[in-house]
Amino acid sequence: MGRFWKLILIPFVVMICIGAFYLQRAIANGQLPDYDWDTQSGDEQLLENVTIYGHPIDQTGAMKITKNDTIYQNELFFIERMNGLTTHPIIEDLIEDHRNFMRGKSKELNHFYEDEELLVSVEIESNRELNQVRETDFRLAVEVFRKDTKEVNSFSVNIPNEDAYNYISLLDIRVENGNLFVITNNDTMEPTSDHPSNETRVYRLNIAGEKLISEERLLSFVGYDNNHPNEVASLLGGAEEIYSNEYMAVSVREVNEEEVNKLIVVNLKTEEQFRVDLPKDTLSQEAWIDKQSNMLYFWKSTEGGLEITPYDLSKQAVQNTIEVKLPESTFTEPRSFDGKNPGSNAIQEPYRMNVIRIHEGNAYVLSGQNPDKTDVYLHVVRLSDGEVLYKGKLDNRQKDGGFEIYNMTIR
Amino acid sequence: MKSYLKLTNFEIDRFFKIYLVLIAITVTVQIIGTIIVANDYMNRASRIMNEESLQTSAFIHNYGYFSLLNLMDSLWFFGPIAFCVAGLIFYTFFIWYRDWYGKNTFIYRLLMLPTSRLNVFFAKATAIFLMVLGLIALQLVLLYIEELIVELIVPLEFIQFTSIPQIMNAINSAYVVLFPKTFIEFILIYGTGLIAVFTLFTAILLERSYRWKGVLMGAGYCIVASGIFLSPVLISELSGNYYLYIGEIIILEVALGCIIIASSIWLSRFLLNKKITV
Amino acid sequence: MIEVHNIIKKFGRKQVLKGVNFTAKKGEITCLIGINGVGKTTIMNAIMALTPINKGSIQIDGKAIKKDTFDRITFIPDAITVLPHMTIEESMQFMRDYYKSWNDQRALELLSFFKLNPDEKIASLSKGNTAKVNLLLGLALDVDYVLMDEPFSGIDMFSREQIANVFTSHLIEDRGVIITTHEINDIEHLIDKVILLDDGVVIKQFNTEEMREVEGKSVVDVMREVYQS
Repeated sequence: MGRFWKLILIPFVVMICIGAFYLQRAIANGQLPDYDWDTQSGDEQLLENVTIYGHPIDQTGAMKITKNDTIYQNELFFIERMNGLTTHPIIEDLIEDHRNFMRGKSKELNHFYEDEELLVSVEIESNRELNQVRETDFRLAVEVFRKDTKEVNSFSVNIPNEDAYNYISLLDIRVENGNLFVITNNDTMEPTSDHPSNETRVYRLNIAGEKLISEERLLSFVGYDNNHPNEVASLLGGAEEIYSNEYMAVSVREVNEEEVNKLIVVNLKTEEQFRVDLPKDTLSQEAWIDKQSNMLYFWKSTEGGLEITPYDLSKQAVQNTIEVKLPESTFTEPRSFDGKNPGSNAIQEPYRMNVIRIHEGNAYVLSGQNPDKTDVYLHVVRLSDGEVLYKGKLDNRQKDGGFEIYNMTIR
Repeated sequence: MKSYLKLTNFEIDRFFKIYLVLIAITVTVQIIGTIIVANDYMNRASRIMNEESLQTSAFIHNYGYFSLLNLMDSLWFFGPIAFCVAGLIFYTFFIWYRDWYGKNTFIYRLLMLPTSRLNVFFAKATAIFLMVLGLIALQLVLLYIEELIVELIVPLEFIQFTSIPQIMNAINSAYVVLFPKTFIEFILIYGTGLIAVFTLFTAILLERSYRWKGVLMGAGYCIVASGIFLSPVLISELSGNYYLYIGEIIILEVALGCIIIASSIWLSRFLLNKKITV
Repeated sequence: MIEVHNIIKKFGRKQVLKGVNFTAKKGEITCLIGINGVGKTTIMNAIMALTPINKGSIQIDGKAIKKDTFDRITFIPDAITVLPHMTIEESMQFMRDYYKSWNDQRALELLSFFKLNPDEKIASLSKGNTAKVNLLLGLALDVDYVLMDEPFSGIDMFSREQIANVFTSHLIEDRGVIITTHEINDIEHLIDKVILLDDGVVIKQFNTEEMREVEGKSVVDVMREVYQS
């Protein structure tokens, strides 16, 4: 023993120190607070699909809250931690159900389409030569999984005129009558009259024939040019589902401007398009398309809560606004500190954070105060009549707890 | 087995004085650094709060909290760690070459012991590995001591994280490799370290067996081994095709790591028995 | 019996051993003689598997060397094989730790024979005493064969005498000894077999007693004949 004390001591010390260190971390992470819904009224079933994303105030890393669970990124095994907490639950479900199909695929919802028969994914592939800015040889790589036969067909089609584009991004995909619609946003390096600097195109593919049937420009935007405003287009939210909408809405505004100049809606079935005729301040509000009702919903925060303006896409008509009452903010005055130099000690004001998701005809409204430790409320409102189906809160004032919200998904 | 343990103990004995020096440097520099960094913060805080007549919370809002992370960003903390890492990497080579050079050619004795020569290989690897882990354990204990010192100097309202697990969760730098977030990651990361030690040892033995030609063979072996080990990640990154899920890549890496360790041991055994030259 | 069969050893392009053959029996003292650089040490190293050979084979009692063989054969190189910071006692302890064939009684006997102080550090020993410790550590093993590489080189006269005395004592009897030297005078009368090396080959090998009785020549006579012709 005497001579071997180092050989015994070192492993012993190593095991004690490292063991205790990880034990303490595991215990500490296990003691992070759990958040449970305190239902004030309505049907708790509606919470099943809700996932809230945020981050703890006194800790680093992300966290998410589901109906039954509070998950901290720091307590996860590192494979899950590396995957992060941001993968959409729908994608997580797809990976669980179709592990091989989902291999190596994008984790963006707009790359997928699913119905009772099919699961379809589309990736835009391209080559990038070294020393070259632009990408070339654009292809649409399609994979189709047939649920009845469990067969996977993959094919790819070349994008016509691909020389004209230097970048193509995918906006959405959908399947209609055996045809796959791929909607893309294409950038051109040298705009011509045939190819404006930015255009939204639809590519129609026949799934059975594995080929491109037709392609068409839906919208085009003139890019940077002295005579034209520098406009950018963005696809309106609502793609939180992989069952796509019949309508696609694109808002157009000038670069670096908040205000939306126009909102163009395209009916993907008929490929007709029209402009939503509403005042600019309504158009500039956040908006979602609901696939079930073919409604467009605009909303804005008001003193009492939230004001939602529905717009019927099939009738092209605005409907009565819906008021959602939210609990009043718990602070009255913006806080600041005394000091000689007001510039240096102005403190960030707590702000109300509202996250709204539309799902199956209901609006899910999550509201809280960031970065304050105030309670977080969830209201589920039926959009057809404004009835509150659920109202509940998370106690966000726990000792050693507290979190900021930044997102919510409805599965 | 008995010879292996005796040899391991012997190798630790031989390095122990230098090891104690490394420990002493780490402890001294880090503790002095803790005191200096914490005092600097407090001096700055009281000066600024006085000059701009700020309250504590305003100062914190504008200039930030204090936490051990401030210390960890400083050379006081990082320096000794880098020094120890450099020392141990140097020792990985020295542990072999010291036996060949000098007038006491100890390698004769080691190779003539009535025990498998691979035991010498394992003993040297174990010694290095234990000393690496020993330094990590020391560093962990030091963190707790440093936190205590910080709390003596800096009032609690200025401190952002007061528990080591919180600080560890907040680490977002290269220290994640040094202090992995979970025990399994600890095993994976330090297992990779062990693969590196075995690969380097094999390269050294190639050099000791074939001299100049062996330098090239050793370098080649290191390149091939790291190429194989990194191949799953490299292939994904270079092709842009992330065919494997992260979990699968980990399993593949563990398997590749085992293959590299096994081939290093096999090659080293062959070299020690058939090719080594004193 | 140690059998060296046709071994070839190259260093780079240079062939140092060009097919060396000889045997050394147990109970005999075999002496490898040759000028410096002729490859005597390389042969010793090769027997102990301390350097690879390009061709040929070496067998000890009919078997290739393996780990257990090191308990039956010992090699005393011309430099000491323990660490300078060790004391003589610690060196002996080190040997005791690993070798089953370590014989404590014999070690103590050698210690008093050489008049060494066990608490002295290796680094502080004189050249002669270092050589003695080296010899002690090798000879205190109960082995069948002892290989000695230049045990007399660079050592003072009295130490040389003392070391030479070992060969006549019971410490050596019954063992097979291979010794390399270029200073034959000290031990000429002790050796049983001589192997003369030149240019990578064995140019002559003979039994000293036979040579003396049949041809009336001493080892030195034969060496003169061979190397100066």
